[in-house]
Amino acid sequence: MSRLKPSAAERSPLAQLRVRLEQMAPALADPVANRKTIEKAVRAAEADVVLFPELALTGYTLGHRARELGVTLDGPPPVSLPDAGPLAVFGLVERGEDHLTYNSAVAVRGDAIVAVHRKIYLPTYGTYDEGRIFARGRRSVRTFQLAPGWQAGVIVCEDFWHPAMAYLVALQGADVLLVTSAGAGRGMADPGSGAVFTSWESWELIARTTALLHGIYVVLCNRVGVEEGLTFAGGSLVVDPSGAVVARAPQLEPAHLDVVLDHDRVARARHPFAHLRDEDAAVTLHTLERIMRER
Amino acid sequence: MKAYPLEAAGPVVAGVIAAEVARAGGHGVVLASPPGPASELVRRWLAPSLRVVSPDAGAVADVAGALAAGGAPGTLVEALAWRVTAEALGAAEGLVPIGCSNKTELLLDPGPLPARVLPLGDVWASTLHARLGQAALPPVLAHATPIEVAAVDGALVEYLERGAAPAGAFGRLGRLQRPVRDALDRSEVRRRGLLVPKLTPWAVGSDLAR
Repeated sequence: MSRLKPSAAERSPLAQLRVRLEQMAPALADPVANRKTIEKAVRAAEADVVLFPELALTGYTLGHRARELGVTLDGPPPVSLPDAGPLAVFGLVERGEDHLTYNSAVAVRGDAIVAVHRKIYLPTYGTYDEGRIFARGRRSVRTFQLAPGWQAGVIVCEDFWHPAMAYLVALQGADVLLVTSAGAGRGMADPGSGAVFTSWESWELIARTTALLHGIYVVLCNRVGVEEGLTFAGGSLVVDPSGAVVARAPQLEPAHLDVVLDHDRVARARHPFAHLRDEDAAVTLHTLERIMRER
Repeated sequence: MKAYPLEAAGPVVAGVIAAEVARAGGHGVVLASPPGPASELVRRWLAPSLRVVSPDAGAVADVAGALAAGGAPGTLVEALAWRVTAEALGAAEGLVPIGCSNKTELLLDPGPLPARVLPLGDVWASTLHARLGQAALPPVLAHATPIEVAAVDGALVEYLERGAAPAGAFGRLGRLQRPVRDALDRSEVRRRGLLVPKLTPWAVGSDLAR
């Protein structure tokens, strides 16, 4: 992951951050079409940040095609974006310098790649086969500047179910946790609930808990569409640092979600509560070292 | 098991089948299962968005006669006749064959699958029974009561989806415990429907599963 040094003009912090979530259905194994969709959406967005789902550039059930659809990230970004436009964060297949294939999220502003996160936790159970297709990300989790005054971390789908990921992002001073996902719907919900799948209740519960515990915004963009029997649930959402859901997209349908994040809400969530101030990483580190020694 | 209104699954199932028809370049679906409440449910779900065709009953009877004359076991003749007729019609008219087997059948019936695409393949027999008043059952449950079928479905959920030990999952099934476990072990779908001797590093069925 790399960082861009902000220019003098960029250093004045934004009190508010305009975020757009693009809950889309990527075309399977068609990066040309998806690239156009991403570029068009970014150009149309009146936002500082546009967040797309996991593997938005390729679709999800790639199987053996993943490797051929991978892109390297040591040159120009894989999409063409305006220099003065919003930061775009989206998922793609990354072909690493080690010739391995990663399920990555990338943040791009203009012609610069601002950040890359390689998915660490690859679901390989039930219907999911990611561990057979992708290599596990082994880089440490880092944050990056989303916009002046806004620090963020980005993780991918199953990473979100591992609480250490959000913890590591929060410890580095993040205001926002971005989550790109391709979460398939599981379990039919009671139609009276307004939901289609019950699985999204778990996602929302994790998002609200994560935001509340760390005093950060959680911005989660899940995809929709159908691939090989999987119906992706949608239901993208934004949770503020108090743990309240402030915006929610419908399930199953493509949608935009425009949300304004407010720095004042981050500040208020951290006072008088002092969870972040009192967090003792040294205790965690010592305990982890002991656990690892004893394993 | 937690019950849910079955109709809620209709749009999800229809979306998946429509995507498969589009992927296959087809023009609709052809039912590879005999008429009944399950196939009617599938037709109702799919008909608003897809062309749904049933094979002519006379044609199916002709195929069944030919299969019987050729020595096909009596227990399989009807299922095979529907499958063969649906595949032939599908090939001729650009239709994707679909079967109406439920999840309980798929897990416990050692017989051939009616089709590769199965709209009710993730719906338990007990769920269909509660909604439709009847459900097709695998041979091992031919004489089971609805309460026993629900118990078997619950045991399968415990064992396959929640990781319970076999003794804990199946222990309360009484006389059905051993036959249900034997049927599960023989089921074709446990092998993802394909068995290919692995000869290369990336074999269909084991490595190239998708």
